[in-house]
Amino acid sequence: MMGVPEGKSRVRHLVEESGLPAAPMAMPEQTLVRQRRGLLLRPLMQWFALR
Amino acid sequence: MVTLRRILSLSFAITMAAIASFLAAGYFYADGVQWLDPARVVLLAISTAWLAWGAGLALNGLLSARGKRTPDAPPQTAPAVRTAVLVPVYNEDPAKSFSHVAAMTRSLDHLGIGGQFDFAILSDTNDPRIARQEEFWLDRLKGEVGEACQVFYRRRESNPGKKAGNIADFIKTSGALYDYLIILDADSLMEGVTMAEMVRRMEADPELGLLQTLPKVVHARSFFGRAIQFSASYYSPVYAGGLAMLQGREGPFWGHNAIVRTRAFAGSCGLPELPGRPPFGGHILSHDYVEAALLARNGWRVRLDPDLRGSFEEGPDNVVDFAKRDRRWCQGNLQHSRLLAAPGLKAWNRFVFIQGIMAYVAAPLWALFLVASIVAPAMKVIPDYFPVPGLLPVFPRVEQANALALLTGVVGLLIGPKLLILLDGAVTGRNRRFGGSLRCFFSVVAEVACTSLLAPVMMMFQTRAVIQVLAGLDAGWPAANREADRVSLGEAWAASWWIVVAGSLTIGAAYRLAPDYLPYVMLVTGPQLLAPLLISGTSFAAAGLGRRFGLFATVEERVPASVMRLQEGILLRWRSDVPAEAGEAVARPIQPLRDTHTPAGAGRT
Repeated sequence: MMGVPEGKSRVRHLVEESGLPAAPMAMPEQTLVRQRRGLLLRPLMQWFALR
Repeated sequence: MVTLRRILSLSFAITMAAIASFLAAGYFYADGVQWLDPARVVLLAISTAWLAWGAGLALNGLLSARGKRTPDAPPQTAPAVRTAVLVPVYNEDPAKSFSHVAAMTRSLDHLGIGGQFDFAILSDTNDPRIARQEEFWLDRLKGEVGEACQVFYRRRESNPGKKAGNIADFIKTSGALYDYLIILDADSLMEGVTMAEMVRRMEADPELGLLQTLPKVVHARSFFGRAIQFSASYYSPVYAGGLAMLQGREGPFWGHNAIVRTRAFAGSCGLPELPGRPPFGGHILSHDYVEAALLARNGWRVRLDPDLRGSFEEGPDNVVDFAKRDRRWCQGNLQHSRLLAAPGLKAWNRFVFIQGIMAYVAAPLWALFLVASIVAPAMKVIPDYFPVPGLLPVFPRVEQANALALLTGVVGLLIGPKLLILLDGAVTGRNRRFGGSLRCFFSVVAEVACTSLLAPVMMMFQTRAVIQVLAGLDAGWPAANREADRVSLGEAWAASWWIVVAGSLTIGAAYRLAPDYLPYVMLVTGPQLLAPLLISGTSFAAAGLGRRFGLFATVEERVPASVMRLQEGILLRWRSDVPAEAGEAVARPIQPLRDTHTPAGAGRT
């Protein structure tokens, strides 16, 4: 372990030094719930409403 | 081949349900039919199908080849392959959890492959006292691990997504560094050679997205805990073998003691929040089943390898903690009803969701069947003994043979697989590892007696859990308590007084409405009247005669794995040379079950 900076407890320093390494990876949100039929029909209804 | 096995297993369950329906209809309809009778037949059919499905898994397991096993020497993998071992913790005893990490790093170091594995303790702890203890024990842990293994630690101030969110947070922060992630629980323990073998198997099959081990329960102390431990060690490998025979590419994920391909998991398992409020909306509670389904949806193989040894976990040591865990799992599994129609899922994964739901819905179905059977005789019309005036009387048939066959069949489905596993162990020599066939026989008898007595009590806990979930009560996220002391009679009464009341009312109803059924009803209600005694009595340490004679002895108890010995030694040393105020174990008094329930939406998110 590197030297403990002044004014910081040893354990606190250790915790900060133990942080996760930065190497991000994307984790896209998955689709689990089907879109309601109503939502699919909405554009069609809007098209009719315009006429 | 897998499809054929699945069809045969399903056919077995359906056939058993059909036979039960036939026998039940013969018995129930013998003295006239009224509307409750078909309902009773349907309830019994569904419950029997569920029992038969479990028995079918055991039969498949007995037929499966159980020859393979983890090698004793570490397999060779490319040094460039990087694996992170993730240890999510949440208000658990840090001395204990971290001693597990220390032992696993040692186990890897002994094999000379510690450099290929990093450990990440992912804390979601929100109790400031335990958070301080985690920092204290991190210091000890850092001093314990060798040079080769790196140990990271981070604590989230808030816990979005709970455990699944905790893992996702790691992937989003550090996932790109690692080819594989071994996902553990705070109480998990794994041999270094097992972790290395898991990596080798992932390397050998580029389509494998997730590999699940069968963790053995260890460190149980109470009679109840050791019965569960024996069950997990003696029966579970056979049931898991059966499950593996049916898994195809859509095997199970149980949330821990498994390895995932980081790229596959990150690309497939980002879980959304479900619309609406808990218990059915919000974060996905039983995330593991869903993650397995999502991996399979994206074309990855998910596999359970029951032959992988050296994988351990701990379990609840008393009925109260078991029921608390069940409450959480019940909510998670019932929430899956929202996902049955999720787009693109494999049919088998949908069926797995149904199995998970049935695991809890079965209890209220049995309870309903019991209630219906008590009420039904009171609703029967008085038989007409003289349908044709002036001729001889016609007495209703009493189909006692049907009733006896039905009872024998149901008991057979429950106990038969266990007896077959005992017989198989005697023939194959497997029983020797458990102390011999005689010890196994007494352990099986004691386990069957214990689970039979507790079954009506567990039925009530599960029935209440289902009702609470359906009523919109959220279980929140209680921390697991595997260090609980024994349950006092007062605590047992606080947790189960309502079961005693329900049992008494059922006896009263049976006495009034169906006195002929009273002896059968007593088989269920008797243990319910004794619930506090059973809960408290089975929580006592089983260190007496039973243990001395090897009752519930397991392979791991007789010959502890090296990583278990390492962990026990480290924890003993840590606890013996640490000031009490700094290293005190996190003792949580057992709370009555009602304390874990919060109104919908009020639980942690």
